[in-house]
Amino acid sequence: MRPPEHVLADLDAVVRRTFPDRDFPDAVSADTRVFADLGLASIDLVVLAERLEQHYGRRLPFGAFLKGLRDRRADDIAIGELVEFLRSNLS
Amino acid sequence: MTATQTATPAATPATGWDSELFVLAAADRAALADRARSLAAFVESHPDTALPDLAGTLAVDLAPGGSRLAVVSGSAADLAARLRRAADRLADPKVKQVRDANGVYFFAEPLAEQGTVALLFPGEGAQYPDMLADLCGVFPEVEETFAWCDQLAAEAGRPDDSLRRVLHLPPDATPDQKAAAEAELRKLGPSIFGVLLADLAVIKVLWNLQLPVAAVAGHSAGEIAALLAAGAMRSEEMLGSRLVETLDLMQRQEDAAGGPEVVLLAVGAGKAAVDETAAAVAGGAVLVAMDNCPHQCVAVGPAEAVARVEAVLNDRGVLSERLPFRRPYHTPLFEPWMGPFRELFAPVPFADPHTPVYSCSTGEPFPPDPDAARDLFVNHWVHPVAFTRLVERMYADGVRVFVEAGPRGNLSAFVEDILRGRPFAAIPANVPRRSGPTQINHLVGQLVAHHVPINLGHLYAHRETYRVEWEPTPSPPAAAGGLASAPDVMGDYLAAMEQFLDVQREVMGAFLAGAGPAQAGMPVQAPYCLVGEVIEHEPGSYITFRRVMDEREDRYADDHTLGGRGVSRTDPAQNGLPVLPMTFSLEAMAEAASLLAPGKVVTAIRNIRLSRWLPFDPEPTKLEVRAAVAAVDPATGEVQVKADVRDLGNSFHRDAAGKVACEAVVVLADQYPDPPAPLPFELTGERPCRSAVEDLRRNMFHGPLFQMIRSLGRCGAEGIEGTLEVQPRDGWFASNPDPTVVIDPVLVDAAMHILGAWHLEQPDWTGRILLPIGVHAVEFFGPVPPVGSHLLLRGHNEEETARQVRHGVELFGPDGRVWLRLTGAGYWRFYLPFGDVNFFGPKDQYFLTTRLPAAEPPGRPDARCYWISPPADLQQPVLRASGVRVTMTARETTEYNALAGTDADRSDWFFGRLAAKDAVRAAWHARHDVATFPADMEAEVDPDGGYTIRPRGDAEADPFPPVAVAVAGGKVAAFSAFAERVGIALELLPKKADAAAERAAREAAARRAVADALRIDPTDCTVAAVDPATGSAAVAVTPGASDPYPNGSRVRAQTARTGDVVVATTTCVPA
Repeated sequence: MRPPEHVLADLDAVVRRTFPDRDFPDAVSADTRVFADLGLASIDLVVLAERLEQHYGRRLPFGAFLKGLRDRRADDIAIGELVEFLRSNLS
Repeated sequence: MTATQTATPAATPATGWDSELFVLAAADRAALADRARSLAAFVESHPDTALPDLAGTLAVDLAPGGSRLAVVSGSAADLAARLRRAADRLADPKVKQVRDANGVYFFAEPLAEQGTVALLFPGEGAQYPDMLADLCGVFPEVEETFAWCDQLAAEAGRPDDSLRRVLHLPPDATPDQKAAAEAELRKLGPSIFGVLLADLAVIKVLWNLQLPVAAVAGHSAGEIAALLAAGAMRSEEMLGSRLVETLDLMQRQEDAAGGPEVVLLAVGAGKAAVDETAAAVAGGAVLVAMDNCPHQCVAVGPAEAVARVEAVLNDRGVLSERLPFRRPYHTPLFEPWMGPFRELFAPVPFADPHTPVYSCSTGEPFPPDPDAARDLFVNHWVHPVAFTRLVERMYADGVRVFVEAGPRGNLSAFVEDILRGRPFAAIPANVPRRSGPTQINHLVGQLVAHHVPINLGHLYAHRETYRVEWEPTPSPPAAAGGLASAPDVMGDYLAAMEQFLDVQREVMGAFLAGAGPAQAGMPVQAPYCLVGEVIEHEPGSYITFRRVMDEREDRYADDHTLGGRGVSRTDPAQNGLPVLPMTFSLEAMAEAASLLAPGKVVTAIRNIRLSRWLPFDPEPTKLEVRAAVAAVDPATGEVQVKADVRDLGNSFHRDAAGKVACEAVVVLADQYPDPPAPLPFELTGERPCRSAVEDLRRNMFHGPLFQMIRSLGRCGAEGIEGTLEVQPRDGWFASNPDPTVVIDPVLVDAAMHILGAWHLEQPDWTGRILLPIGVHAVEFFGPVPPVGSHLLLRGHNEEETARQVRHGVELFGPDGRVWLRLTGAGYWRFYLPFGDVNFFGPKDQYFLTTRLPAAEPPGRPDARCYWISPPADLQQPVLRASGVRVTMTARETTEYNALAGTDADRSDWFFGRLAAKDAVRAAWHARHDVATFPADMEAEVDPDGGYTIRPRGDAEADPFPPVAVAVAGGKVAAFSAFAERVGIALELLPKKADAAAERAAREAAARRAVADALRIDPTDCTVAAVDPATGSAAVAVTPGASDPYPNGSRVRAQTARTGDVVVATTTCVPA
């Protein structure tokens, strides 16, 4: 599995590239929340998923990931969760 | 508390303000960064400062324009940290904007300067439990809106069925109760009606914030709110129990619906991808009902067909989600529900909207025909929502800021996706993830940072705040004789706002009953001279009226012309550019206020701010006046009305249409206050005025209607005294010889002329062109004095700096007591290049361009070279237009008005002709000793840039002497001489040019000047010699390049440097 800090760095870079007209906190950490802290909306998550697939050059099961979040009625996504999802699907 | 609230205590929503909005402006971003750091330092050293006080102070102090920063924060420590971070970002010139979701906003290219603002109203699906509940405690208009459903339920005899019980749950609701409420909210009636309530509540907040709205649109059921907000649909017929009944009926239909099960699938892909899949695997049984944005659409179809589409999409990795309801909105499958809808809306009157409404089915503006509009609206339930097309169209029509006026924020995310990569903003007024007040702060913060004019006072309308002196300010006005320090206007305003709630309840009740839009477009009897068409009027609450600005009707305008009067000998009626006097804006606002508080008198107009001129356009434009009651004091009977004035478009400020030009608070009372004692009037260095009344008239741009000053008396450092005579009003309007006025705007304007006389007495005349930017207060202590009264007048000099001056005026009534007191009149000084000549004096005596004698060839005493590096002030669109009006003929002015090019093109057009005329008339004067008005000369410019100047209106007349014009980098030079050939060239020098660079520029200019005169290519010219001492150059011309002259001979050119410019002229005499 890729080291989490590498995936976090990838994720950080893809987020900034995808939404160049927004300002994000200097340091994005595992605890940073996608909606509350980064200010993304659910449509943005769809766009981000598309860009992450392009970045890694492969399809990633975002549908299942999001369904899992919905099933447990999560109202936000921690960057750490997204990192773990990416790591487990990039190995 | 209202009766209905008592009857159904559904919710306790008041959580109050959990954050504040802090706004700062400065002349540029460096100064803004400095202010941000200063504020951070203050907050760090005063951590106990009440944040609402600080935020309210900054809101009051926010200056128009400039560079702006907005920060949303809930604690002192956090605020300081964000300000410091923002200052660091501002210091980085690469940073074009700061858009931090945590609440820091700055835009180097604010959108209000690029386009308009539109409202987007969400429809069903946007609802969520407790939406806007936390706004009920901070904005009474929100509480009132939701309380209305209690009232409707009570009127229907079902007080326990108020929708509010589902919308706003009590804080101790159990999880089961919450789940039940959520399920109820997903039903047809509660979803449509719930979102409509929330949309209407947000409209009212935005209305009180005085957001300038150029267009509206709704998504799906949000179209109801859009049509109501725009005045296109009368509300009373539908916003009553009939809507509730209809939705009930539809709900029963839905509950009873049998047939195949319908599924709605939200797909994370565009319409094309879903259409393609549906065609391949569902044979057209699955339709795209909503094309929301490139990454979301909603597909609808029978369950089994949708499942096939879903499976294919999921295989391709496309995200999708089934929606938790089964109404096939926006497809033909919804037809069975349509009967009650059609019945409900058939009798609802549609009207021409006061604001354009776009249809979410067509993406186009609604048709003007009421029946066609109704059909389009009703049938949109069975037609797909084309939101992508809608947003693209609104963007193409100039909308740059989209404000989502309702709950959740989905539409803003759609707009983000649709317009990604282009300049725009999509800002939700409410999102589930943030408290209502905090999101309002984020919304307003972004609007402020984008320079959208907004009434920040509404954020503090129901709170008591106190001024915080956080930064060292220039000393308060050292008013002559101790003018009392400026009272805390905001404090007064806010204290009085305690009364706002009661008034506001009436406003909103009436609004919901539809009384406002009902009067749209209906001309009413105009009791006051500036009231034209009343757009909306809720007596006692708010009014909007419009009036055409037309020079032919508004004769006073021809006596108030920027650039002066009598600018042509040929046409003595030609004057400068008519602009609306500030006092007419005041009169218009006072009239609006008087209509809102009939029977009361205007005792003061306070906090007057002017942000731009309102010029009269060649094409008549419209003035719009908006006013709303802001506070009522039942104890004293005093009413405060917040009002503003704007024009709905003019050709000078193409981007300014609809933006507030003047705003103020009008104060009314049952009677005038007793006149106060006059302000002290001790004059240092007192002496009689040197100027005569005639001098004053010559030095102001006002015509006879405004000329009321009759004598000038004593004068000193602190002020000046004189008298005026109140003049008749029968010449103001072409069609109204007896105008009804509230304040007599011409008299108030004329009283201020005493200040012009004070300036005439000062030794330094530069910076004497004054634009009023604001007035602290004008107070009235009695009715307008009768025509013919002779009144004592005093002007006070309160403060003077290089860029601004501040004055006061007292005008005494026939009884010798103070009738009018004007304080804190701030003027911006304009610096225009006339040396010591008189801008408003005869135009044949002054030159806007400057003579450059060193560039005139020796031995030609009547050759003239003039040049100009147009100062920023003169390129300001209205001042430039006034320059055109006073120096160009009618034909030229028409040509200028029709120019389609860029702003720089307009400057080049104007300054090229201006310099040409100045050089020609100076040469003419040198030879014939006859002065000529520039407006009595007409320039003809051939496609190659060759100028010919003839006497005005006589194409057959012999031209004036030849002239040549050169333009480079916005700088312009012209050369005229009584010679067969004239040529000119202008070279820009690099910064810190050395002798070699200057020599090269002189050589280049000399070659190009000769080429210009001979109409040949500069490569055929070679500089043989330049004498740096005299500037004289000898230029060789390739034999054969120019026949028969100079036939290979060398010719002379004259070069001269001024600043970073080298000019060369020639008459091609042999060297």
